[in-house]
Amino acid sequence: MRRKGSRWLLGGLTVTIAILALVSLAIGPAPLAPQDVWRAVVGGEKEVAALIVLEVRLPRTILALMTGATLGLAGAALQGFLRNPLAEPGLIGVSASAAFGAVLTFYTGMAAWFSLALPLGGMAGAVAGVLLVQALAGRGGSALTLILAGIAVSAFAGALTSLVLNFAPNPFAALEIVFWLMGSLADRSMEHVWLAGPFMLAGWIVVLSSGRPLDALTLGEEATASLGFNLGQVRTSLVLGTALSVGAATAVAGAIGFVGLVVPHLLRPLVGERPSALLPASALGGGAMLLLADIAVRAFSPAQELKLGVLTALVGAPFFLFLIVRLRRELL
Amino acid sequence: MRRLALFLLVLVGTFCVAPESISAAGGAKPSRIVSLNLCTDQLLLHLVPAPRIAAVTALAQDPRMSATAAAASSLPAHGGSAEEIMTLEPDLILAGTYSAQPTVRLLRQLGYSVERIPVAFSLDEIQANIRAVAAAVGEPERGETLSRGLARRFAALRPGAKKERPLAALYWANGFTSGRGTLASEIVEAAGFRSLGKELGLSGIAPLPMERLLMAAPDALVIGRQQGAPSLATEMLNHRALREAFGEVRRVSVPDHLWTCGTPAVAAAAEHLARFREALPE
Repeated sequence: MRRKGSRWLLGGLTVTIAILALVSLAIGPAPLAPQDVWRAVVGGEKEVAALIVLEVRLPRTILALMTGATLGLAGAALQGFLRNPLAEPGLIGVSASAAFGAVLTFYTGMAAWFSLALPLGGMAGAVAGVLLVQALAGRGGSALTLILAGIAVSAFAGALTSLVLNFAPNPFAALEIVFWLMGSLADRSMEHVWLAGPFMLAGWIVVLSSGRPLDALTLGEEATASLGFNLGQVRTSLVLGTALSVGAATAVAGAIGFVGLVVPHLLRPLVGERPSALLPASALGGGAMLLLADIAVRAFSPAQELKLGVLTALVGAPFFLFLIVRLRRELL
Repeated sequence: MRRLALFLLVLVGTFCVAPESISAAGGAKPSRIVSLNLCTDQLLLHLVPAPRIAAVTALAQDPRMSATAAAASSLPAHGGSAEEIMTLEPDLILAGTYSAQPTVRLLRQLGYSVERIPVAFSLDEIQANIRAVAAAVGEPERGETLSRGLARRFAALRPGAKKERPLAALYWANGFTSGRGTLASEIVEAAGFRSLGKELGLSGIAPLPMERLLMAAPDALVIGRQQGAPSLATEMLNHRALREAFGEVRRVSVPDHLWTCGTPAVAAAAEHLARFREALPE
């Protein structure tokens, strides 16, 4: 029964994503008629409409989908592994440290002569962030210590990011603090897709492969071990998968918060308590949510685009408060 | 309370009265000139021999920003604070109308003679500024020669018949363009182009989404030269969509230092653009 339900859910989310992706290709400051957009997508001729749709709108659509999926998936995986309902790449400081890693490689010029340095920097930052938070809070520690550790890591990484940008030699750099702390997909190109996409895909595969041990983990660590799973191995692959995907996504889109918190919580009642079913659903749900957010920033503030993280925080922060209220007894 | 007010009044009074003597003595040409603004720095260096200049801004020595960096590098540079300017004991201070307003107000209150030069948005205004600086420093003939020479170089550009002029899109960091009432638009037009920002009805420096730029299908893309240090703001000028739409032949960059300020260097920017226009494929 559950299994059938979750299949319906995955199907519904896929259809939603397909519709949102088409809307995302059709919307933008250039007044293109839907039939022009369609011809650009299927025809591929080198006319202006094709250039706008394929080189300006398509990369941001793909990146919104992939970044959202990454964040949703990472949120679900971290919540399952840390057995903590508040775990999420943004809140536990992984996004902020990934942004710091990317900023270091970008503004020092490293990424200019070796373009892979950008995602690699993001991933290195993400690994450092995950390990630091784990060392501070300990796995299976209380929700409170995890959030406190996350706040500390986030604040520190954010301060380092601002510091690097303030001292960067380019006069525009200081104004770009907002991009790295809030995230945006404005004027991203296909090059960014090729740069970050493969790492995100690899990260997804690693995370999705830990679905069954995560299922076992809901029964406790002893039960997991007795079922033949190696906890150390599960931990390694989750850290690696999260760092690969979140690091690469943050390197091209900035730190976007709350997607990984909201999406798994909304979907959990629909798939039951099994993490293995929640993981793919959260990936699709995250993709849909970020696509929607990116459509909204273009539709509501076309001239000076709102940063994506502003919108996700407007939705996510009240949700976070709601979760805290619900968890209050446990926290106190 | 009343005593405090009285004290303040006396304090202000001393500031207003005392330093009248600092001002330049009538007749003699100023010989300790300080400029507070990158643009007045450059005009000053064109008009006055170095020994009469007490200091210029540090920006004037940066070859990425200043067309007269070589001449400025042998001069003392100041950081712009009122204290620093006062220790230089200037007999004439040149400033922009918008720049360093609190500093300028303070220096004026202290009795220094400050000449404010407006921002130039056209060839006419550049010529007016050259004359204004020349008059202030006591070199009206040099100003006249410089201004005439500039006008001659612009007249020699031969922009061609109005209808046939190609359309150029000016594109700056962060996706901004120059529309009506900007120096860059004026120079692009003087070089024989139509300016996209102007034709889209934009005025001043205004945001232009990349999609709308591509949609207008201009004949050429004119971008500021990207500085060495990377930023997202300038990375977008290298976006693949722009590279595919304009290639190498329809894209030109103009070094920032030639036209960020209205100085005689803008002629070099206009000539650079005119040569680029002549080389454009049909």
